[in-house]
Amino acid sequence: MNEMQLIDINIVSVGPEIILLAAGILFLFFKLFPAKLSRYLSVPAMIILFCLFIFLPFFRDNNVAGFAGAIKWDNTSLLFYILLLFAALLAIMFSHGKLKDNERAGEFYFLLYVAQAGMILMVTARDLLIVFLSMEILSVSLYVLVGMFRAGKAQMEAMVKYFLLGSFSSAVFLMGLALIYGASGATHFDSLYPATISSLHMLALFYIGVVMVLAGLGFKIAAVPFHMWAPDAYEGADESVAAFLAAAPKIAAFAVIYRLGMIMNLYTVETLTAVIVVMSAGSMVLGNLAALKQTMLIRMLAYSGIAQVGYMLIGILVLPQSGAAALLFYLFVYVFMNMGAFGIAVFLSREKGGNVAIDDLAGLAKGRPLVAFAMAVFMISLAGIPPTGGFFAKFYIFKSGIEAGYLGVVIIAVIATVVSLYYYFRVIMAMYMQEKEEGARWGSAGFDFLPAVLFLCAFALLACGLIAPHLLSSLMPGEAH
Amino acid sequence: MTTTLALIIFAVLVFCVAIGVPLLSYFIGRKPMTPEKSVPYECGMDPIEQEQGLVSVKFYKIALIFVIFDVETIFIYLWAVSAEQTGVFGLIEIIVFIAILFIPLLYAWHKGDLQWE
Repeated sequence: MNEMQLIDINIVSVGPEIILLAAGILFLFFKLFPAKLSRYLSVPAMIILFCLFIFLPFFRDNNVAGFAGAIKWDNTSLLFYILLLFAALLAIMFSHGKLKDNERAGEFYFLLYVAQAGMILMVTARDLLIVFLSMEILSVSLYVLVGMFRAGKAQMEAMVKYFLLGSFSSAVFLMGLALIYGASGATHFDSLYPATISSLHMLALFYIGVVMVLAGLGFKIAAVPFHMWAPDAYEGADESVAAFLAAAPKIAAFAVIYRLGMIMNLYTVETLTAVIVVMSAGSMVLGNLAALKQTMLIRMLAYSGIAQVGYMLIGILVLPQSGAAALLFYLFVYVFMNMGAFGIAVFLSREKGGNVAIDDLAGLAKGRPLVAFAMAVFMISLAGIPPTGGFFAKFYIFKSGIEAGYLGVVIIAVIATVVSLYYYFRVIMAMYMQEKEEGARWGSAGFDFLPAVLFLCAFALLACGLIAPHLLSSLMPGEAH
Repeated sequence: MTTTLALIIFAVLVFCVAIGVPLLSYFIGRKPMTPEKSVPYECGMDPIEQEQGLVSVKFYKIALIFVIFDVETIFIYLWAVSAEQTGVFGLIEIIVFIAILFIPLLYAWHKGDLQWE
């Protein structure tokens, strides 16, 4: 027998994951140190994430590959990587207040880092088995994060619901993986073209497998009909965890859907196009209609997130044309506007204590004008109104959809957008036009960390709107596979 | 054609047997309620207490810690079979693997889960 080939393993290709896990383990054992230090724990947590940006020049235009090609960095994975880092940074900033004097802060950062490592592995994976592995790393730590600060039965219910549905979706994904392997004899993306499958029976098996894999990923992005867990899980989890949950796993799962589309060229097949169309239209219609009658802020944002996923899936439909850049731009804007809106919920629930209803926002513009302004920008951006990044994101997605001939889906999307104006503007109405009943609840408390971050998010969104065409052309994935 | 026919006959037979045998025993068999029938296991030892007895939650933690060693055993066994082929590299890999598995044990220890009281 010959010696094993050792050259294929490239430690650099999993460098960010190793750093995250090592740092996470340090955080895990942090209780050995004096308890006083734990309130400053968020600073090293953020610094380590910032340090991960130094990998950018190493990986840019380099196509670093490792583990026999199962992990590969190209410029698109780098973009997803940056988005994930932004999402995690925001989540740590949001959770800072909650974890200030919490003895479980170290465990929180450990779990967040492990989830982050899983997601980075997910956006660089080129093999379905690695995708499954990373999805499990991500999911298991998120199950714990959702129930981490549980206080009552509602939180417990959210955690159990998320766990059961999540593990079910993993099983569906694995079943699809098995079918794909059975049909093609491979799990690596590069050897999974439908054209390589000779027998017609096998082709049907292959497509069923792909649909099941898409269903498994659909749970992660909370697209209809796999969306049921989202509102309950977001409401039960701590708001900062909900903000992370609503953005980061979606980015990672979209990265995998994107890869399936770009490398395997799957979404030119009519059967699979139909699946994406149904998921997209269903998400837009159901998400927007359900958001209309929500009274709690987090639930409203959860349904609005489902609707946003519907818009993004249009970009998946038209990947080979201009969809890829439009989708990446949408995700870029989505991180800031959605996490920003959740950040407002974090801020308000800290001030108020407990879950925030939309009516609780009344009078916010008078008490905290800057926070109200930031929230207004997030809402306008989510609704897709011109000066913000959200408008351009929607515009490019719809434009690429029309150019590729998916007129029906785009018409549904435009109608859905009009419907969504109602609930987004209800928030702005409450903040600016309603007077609160009792005395001044939103006392201005001088400089605060969280509102400053939120204000920066809002500023980034406005800037996105201004430099949108330039940003879009730089996001164009130019590399060859 | 003959294989398809054979397949259909086979499927029909399987269906008849699967449905027929339980139905047959349902209609023909007598159903006296003996005391043996009300215990969870008809053969083996008689249960000594109710099955809904309380189990200390500590056993759950011990079982979780056991999983660490379980996983360790599975992978070390596989490595041991191919230790000659993988050489020094395999040795380093398995040491890294054991080190990683040692961390959760340390954590459980640190949390005091190894103490019974």
